[in-house]
Amino acid sequence: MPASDGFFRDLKKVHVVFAWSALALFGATIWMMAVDHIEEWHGVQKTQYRLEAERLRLSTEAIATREFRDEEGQLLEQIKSADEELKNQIAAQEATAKANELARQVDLSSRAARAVRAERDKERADYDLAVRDELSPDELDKELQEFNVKQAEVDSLELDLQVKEAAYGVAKSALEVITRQRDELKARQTKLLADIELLRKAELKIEPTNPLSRAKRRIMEWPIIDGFNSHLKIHQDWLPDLPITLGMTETARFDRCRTCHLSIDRIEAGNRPTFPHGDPGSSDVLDWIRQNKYPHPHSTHPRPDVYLTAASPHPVATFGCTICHEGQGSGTEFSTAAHLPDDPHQAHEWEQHHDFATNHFWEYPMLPKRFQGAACIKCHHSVVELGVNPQFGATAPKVHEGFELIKQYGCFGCHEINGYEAGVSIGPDIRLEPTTEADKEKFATDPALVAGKMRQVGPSLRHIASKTTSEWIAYWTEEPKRFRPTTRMPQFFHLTNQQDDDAKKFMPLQLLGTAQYLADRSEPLELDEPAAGYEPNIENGRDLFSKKGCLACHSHKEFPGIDADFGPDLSRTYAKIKPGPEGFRWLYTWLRNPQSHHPRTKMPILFLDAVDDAGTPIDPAADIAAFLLEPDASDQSLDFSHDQQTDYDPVALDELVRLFLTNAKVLSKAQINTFFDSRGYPLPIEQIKGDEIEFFSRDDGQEVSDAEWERRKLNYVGRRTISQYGCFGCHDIPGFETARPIGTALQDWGRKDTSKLAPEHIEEFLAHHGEPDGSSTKARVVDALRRADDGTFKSNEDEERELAAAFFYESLLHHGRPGFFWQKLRQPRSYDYEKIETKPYTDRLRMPKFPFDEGQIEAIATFVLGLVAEPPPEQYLYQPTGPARDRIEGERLLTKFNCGGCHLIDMPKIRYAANPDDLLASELSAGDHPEGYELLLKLKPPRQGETGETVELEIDGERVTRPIISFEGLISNRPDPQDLPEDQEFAYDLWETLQVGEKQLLTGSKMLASAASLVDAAGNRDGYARPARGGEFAEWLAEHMMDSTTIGTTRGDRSLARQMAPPPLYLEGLKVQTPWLYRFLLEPGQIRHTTLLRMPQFNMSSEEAMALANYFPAVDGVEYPYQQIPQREPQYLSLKNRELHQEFPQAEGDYLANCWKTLNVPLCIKCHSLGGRQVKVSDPKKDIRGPNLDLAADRLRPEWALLWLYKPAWITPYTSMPANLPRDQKQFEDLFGGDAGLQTKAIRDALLNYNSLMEREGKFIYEPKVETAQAVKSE
Amino acid sequence: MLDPHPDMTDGVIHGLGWLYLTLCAMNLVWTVLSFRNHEHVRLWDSLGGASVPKATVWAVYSVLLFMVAAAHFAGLGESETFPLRLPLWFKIAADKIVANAVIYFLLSFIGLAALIVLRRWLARPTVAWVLLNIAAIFTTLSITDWDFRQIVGKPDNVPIVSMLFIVGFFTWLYLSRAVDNDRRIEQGKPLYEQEKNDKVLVWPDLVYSEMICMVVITVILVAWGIVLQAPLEEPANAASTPNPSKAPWYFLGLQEMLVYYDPWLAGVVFPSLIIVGLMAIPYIDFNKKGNGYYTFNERKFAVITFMVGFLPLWIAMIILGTFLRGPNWNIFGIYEYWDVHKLEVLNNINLSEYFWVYSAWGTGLPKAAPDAGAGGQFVMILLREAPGLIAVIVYLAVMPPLLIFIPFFRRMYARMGFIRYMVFMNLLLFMAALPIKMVFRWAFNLKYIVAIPEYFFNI
Repeated sequence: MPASDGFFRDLKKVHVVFAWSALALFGATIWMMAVDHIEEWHGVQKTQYRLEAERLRLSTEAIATREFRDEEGQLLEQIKSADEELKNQIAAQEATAKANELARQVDLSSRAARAVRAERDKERADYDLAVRDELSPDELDKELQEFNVKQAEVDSLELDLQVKEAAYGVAKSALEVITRQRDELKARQTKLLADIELLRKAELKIEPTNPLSRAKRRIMEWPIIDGFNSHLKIHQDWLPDLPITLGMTETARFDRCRTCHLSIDRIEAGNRPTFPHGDPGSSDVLDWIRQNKYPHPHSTHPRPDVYLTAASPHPVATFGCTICHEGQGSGTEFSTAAHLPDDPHQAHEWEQHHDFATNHFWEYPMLPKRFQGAACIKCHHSVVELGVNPQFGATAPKVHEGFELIKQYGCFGCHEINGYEAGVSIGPDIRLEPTTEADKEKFATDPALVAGKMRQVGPSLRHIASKTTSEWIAYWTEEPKRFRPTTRMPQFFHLTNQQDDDAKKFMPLQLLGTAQYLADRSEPLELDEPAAGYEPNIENGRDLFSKKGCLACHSHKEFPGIDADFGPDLSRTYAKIKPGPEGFRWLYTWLRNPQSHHPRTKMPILFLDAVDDAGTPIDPAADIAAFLLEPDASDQSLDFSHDQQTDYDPVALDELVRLFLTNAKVLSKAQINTFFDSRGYPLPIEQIKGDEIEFFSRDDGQEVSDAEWERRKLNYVGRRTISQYGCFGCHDIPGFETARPIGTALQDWGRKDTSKLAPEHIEEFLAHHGEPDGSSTKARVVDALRRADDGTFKSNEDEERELAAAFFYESLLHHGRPGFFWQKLRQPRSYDYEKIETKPYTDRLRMPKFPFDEGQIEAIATFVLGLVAEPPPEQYLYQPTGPARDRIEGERLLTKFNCGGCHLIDMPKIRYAANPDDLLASELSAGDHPEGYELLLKLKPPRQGETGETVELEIDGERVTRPIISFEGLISNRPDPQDLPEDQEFAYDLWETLQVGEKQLLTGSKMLASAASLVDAAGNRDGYARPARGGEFAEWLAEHMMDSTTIGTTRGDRSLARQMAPPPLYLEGLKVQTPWLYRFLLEPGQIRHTTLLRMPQFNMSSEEAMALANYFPAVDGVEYPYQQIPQREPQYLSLKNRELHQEFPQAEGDYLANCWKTLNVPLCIKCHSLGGRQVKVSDPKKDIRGPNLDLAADRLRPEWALLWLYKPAWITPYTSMPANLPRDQKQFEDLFGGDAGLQTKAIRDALLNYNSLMEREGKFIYEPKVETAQAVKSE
Repeated sequence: MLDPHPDMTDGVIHGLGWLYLTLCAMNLVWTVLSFRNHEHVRLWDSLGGASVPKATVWAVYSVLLFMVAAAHFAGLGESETFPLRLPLWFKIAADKIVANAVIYFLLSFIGLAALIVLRRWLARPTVAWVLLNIAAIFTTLSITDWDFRQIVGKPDNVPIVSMLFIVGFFTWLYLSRAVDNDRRIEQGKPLYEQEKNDKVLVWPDLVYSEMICMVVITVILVAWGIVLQAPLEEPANAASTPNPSKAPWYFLGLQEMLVYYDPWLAGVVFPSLIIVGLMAIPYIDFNKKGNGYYTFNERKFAVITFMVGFLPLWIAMIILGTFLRGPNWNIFGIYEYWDVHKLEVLNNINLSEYFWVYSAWGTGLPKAAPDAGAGGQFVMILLREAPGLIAVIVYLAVMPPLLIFIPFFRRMYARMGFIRYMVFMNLLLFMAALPIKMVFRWAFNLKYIVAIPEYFFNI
């Protein structure tokens, strides 16, 4: 067809289509820009600006009170009238006119001078250039001439200027005199308005009132324009030194979190958050300000002393956010930042309010709140400082709890947590110590290897046959909690994957085999026994058990008030230990020297040696053993006996042995058959690698008897069971010295690829089972979420617990690590649900069930999820040196040896609402030495008692606000529960020096607090807000002795009773010399005579003793490890000598001799043996025997000793030691003229030179020189 | 809240309501068009056998769709009990059929055959419209399944879903035009292209239209880019690759070939041959008919060959790779959960093993002595792989001459000459190699015909 003139389509219509499509394109472009521009954080930042403006406005309003406004108005009025007055004054008018005219002239002259000066400078430069260019002298001269002309001009102009300025100055001062009153008023106005102006300016910056500025601020928010330094912008922390690993590459970290969390690091004076976090329950910023509670993301980070601020250890500019919180730092939307909800209920809320969706492509989502602190261990490899920290307190208590639980329960026995990679620290290190000589050698010789430090947590089973019977072993192993509900040993049998016929058939055989193997392989132990004919006294044993410190680590049902769990509960020892004399001898041996049975035991040597008490021999170990072995007739639950005959099914045994042999994959089926027929293992010993060694016998070819055959089979089954369950991870077992941990290593479990977890049929399991009572976990979670939606939880704890379960359950459904871990610890074998049908008996899951509650599981999960083995660059690692390091190491050892079982380590803290007017400031009495007081303030600097917090109280029906005062002290009197509630009053001894306002309270002051005024004391019978750390046994023993009828003097006297208990280690570093403490820890000798028990000897290496000795001075901030004792140095002594003879010319002998005499006056000897003389108690009620003084020289630090001598109660409020030499009494005037202060120092110096004085002066008995004294008087 | 894989959610119900509403609107338009055509259908005798206008049927159908849409909007908030969803039995049955490569390929070939045989019927607009409706309703109903949604709704896969409809439409367009022209040729009428051959101006008829298309496509792409965000996943990590690791959608056909052939063949030789072969078509094709107009009858061989290569061997494999291949490259039904734990038996055996190990005369694979030199090794490898090598040589070199005994190919040979014929036959045989190998794999678990892993050479 030929081309026509017409168009194919109607052009008009096409135009219309084109127009519409063009409009659509325009719309799409606008849409695209809008989508690109409208971002969540714009709104957040706008709200933040509004918040700031409102706060400023409110602050302005707070300042601008009515009085303020009145004052301002008055000032304004006055200024106005002053101005008015000036205006009408002719003199003023003239002066002003004159000053103005002169000012104009000064200005003119100054301009003229400036212009010519510039010309002069050019001429000088021209001359200089001419010199540079070596022009001819003529030309040079010409240039110089030109310069000189200009210079002359400048000089004359400057002179003119000076004259005019002077004139202006005179005129101005004249004017000032006239206007002085007005100027002063104006200055007052400026001063008055300064604060408000500052606030106003800040406010105007955010919300300008000027329409132009307003418009500018608006326009700056527009798309594209907002790229030019708008106030709405992304805030980003760029951290090139703290790279992040993304897939395969490491790249600099960009944290844009502060785009929304704008005020996260805003603090106010006093290091307080400007915007404390809280739920104001409203979206109106005014409500937030009113309640001082700010929701996310407008709030400030808590604990500005620890985080974010420049003065804290984690400044935000260096650390950013994601190194601790994880999450996608570069994300600027709620979801893309990879926030992670704390539970599904919160997730649901986020979905509704933040359009939240899990960003599951980001590998490291933010740690939810419940795992707070997990990331701390990336840098804090020693963990301890996160839980115990004198500066910051417990900053990551959950992680620390998890860490301690792992150490206590010995998880590392199976799951190594290797904190080192090629000798470099990558995380917390929790590994078994090397056990074999070969291993020790390897670690000792290779500097790149770091040995583990943990001992096996369970007792050694190497000599188990001397201790108990195989029947008991089998009974115990089957279900440890059945015998002892508080045991930490987990349960291996009768778990969820052992409910089928196979398990029922084989489990008894495995238990029997294990018990038999252990008994069979047990090595003999040499046992002690008490002297022949000694009759152990059970009653005495019971008494000794309570007094010798056993209860510091163990509990026993006969002593219900104290339940230490460091060691096992000893209530049913009689049922456990082998019956008959052999069991008694074992226990006797164990009590006397536990290390003979278990060289790595934590049980110390208690010095329970036999003594002769006035002809009656007493063997405490035998008595205690007899007490522990005395059966309890009321113990009905003892459902097993040591001589039980255990029947077993021989066919099942054969079947199990065959199963194990087949599984070992060494012998063919035919070989196994032949083996069963011939009973001779078909392989030579060199080829036996595994547990089959049990079948090998040296006397090959011999006929194997039936009994021997059964024995071998059972031993084999036992050995296989031990291999399978990894019992050697916790126990020392013969035959397993070189065995390796059987579990997955955990050092990088927090980053474990989730596709490597095998949740198997856990979803199905939890839908039908999962709870301890067999009900469905899913139902529990569904119910929890419903209740959270309806808000029908009974308590916050309920809600927290149930929603935690929901969180973990939900995580499990998504194959997350937390959920997997949670269920693994709750029901370790549940992952075998409906899996055992398709796998061999020997391949079943092996992890035992530990007696953890869900809270503990969460703590352990927090710790393990924090194990990522991705240490940040070295400068970020917490690698303390000096005291900080020693404190951490010491803390570890305090826990390891349970020092806190006996000794009080940190004083309890009491918080109460006090009326500061009622507080009595301590006043020095006439007997107190001012030097002593100064020393006290030096050693115990006063601490601020006011917390700055207040509480509202109802007193006599009136509501009053009282400040909260906190102090450290010990209870001295509890209120009588019979009293009326308002009369109940707690009495405390103050142990520190406290400053409350102007008042100073010294150690030993009595503090009284009514029960109603105590703060945070809920549930504590002593009213402590923070209970003591350690010393539970000491307090228990003191109470026990107070109530005890046996010792008359102690009854009811708390001070005396406390002296019978182990001493507190409060400020121990100030007190003792470090080298002495080191020696004492290794070889503790007897110091005190008042205490009922002695410091035992711990199973401690010398490095450990050293670390522990360093701990105390490190905590107290005094010098260590070596101390100077200047009192022994010749310079000091000769100086003192000179002083002595100058002041007291009649003094006999040198200074030290006088000191020695002073020490030997009849004061100290009343309580202390000293100088070769035994203690001479004159009043048994008052004089309590103190430590022998020969120890003091090496033991005590000079300053402490002096303060102690000045006034013992300033150190230990409960001590019986009096202040022997009060200042206002003159005694023994022949010694230092009776000056009590000098005498006190002399005693201290004598103590510090004790040994040399004893050698030099020997025994000395003081005879007062009465005549001399009288002679002096008569003169 | 706790079901991680909910079939129905409020969002789904809401979206489906809109989908049904769109479908309703489309059918309303169709009803109007149908009303203008004044066509009638006869109802079944049991219904009275009356003749009703077609438009009435479409109107009733549209109203039905509207009610379904309304039911969805009314059913918001009751996602757990919402009744309009795909029945379980259907899902199970569909998965049984689809999740099997043999049935899948068989169906795709049967479908192709049906397409050709039933082309006259299929070319009718009503049939096409009904098929489109069936496809739309099937997709809409399937969206009520969580697993289906995951696969179809992945931003990556959205173009493939639209590809399904686009390929369907253009195939139908071809068929309807070809059927029309074939009928015209039979009846001796002028071809459609001749009858409607209006020459138009470049401006404004061509360029202006193109510009409008450009603008509209830009709008669509912008909207698409905003609504469906770029499917970014986790940062790349060689140590942990995603499972399944899938090529971009347009390469999934190639990836599917990798299941059957060694990478150098499936990834290098075949793709090159596809391109070379397409380039060679003008030089091979001697049939002058069908130039510039649609026809089927005049170019049966060419069309069928192309369709076999394009539909079952390319498009169907992309669909398979996209929608059915899941973790571990296992085949999953469209309603089946992609469980990494699903296992399939892969006991595949090389031809040489069949010959040397499993046969009656099996002596074990021939192996060179360990001390034999490279030459000795090579000879033994050749001996070992001799059956396969011979088969390949026979297939590529002997088959073409032998095929001349078939009259159809003899005629071709006569028209093409030796070189053209051999090139053509080889291209054809290469194309046929894929389905042949598939059949061998399914029937005999055949792994490689020639397996020389020593030199990374497998066929």
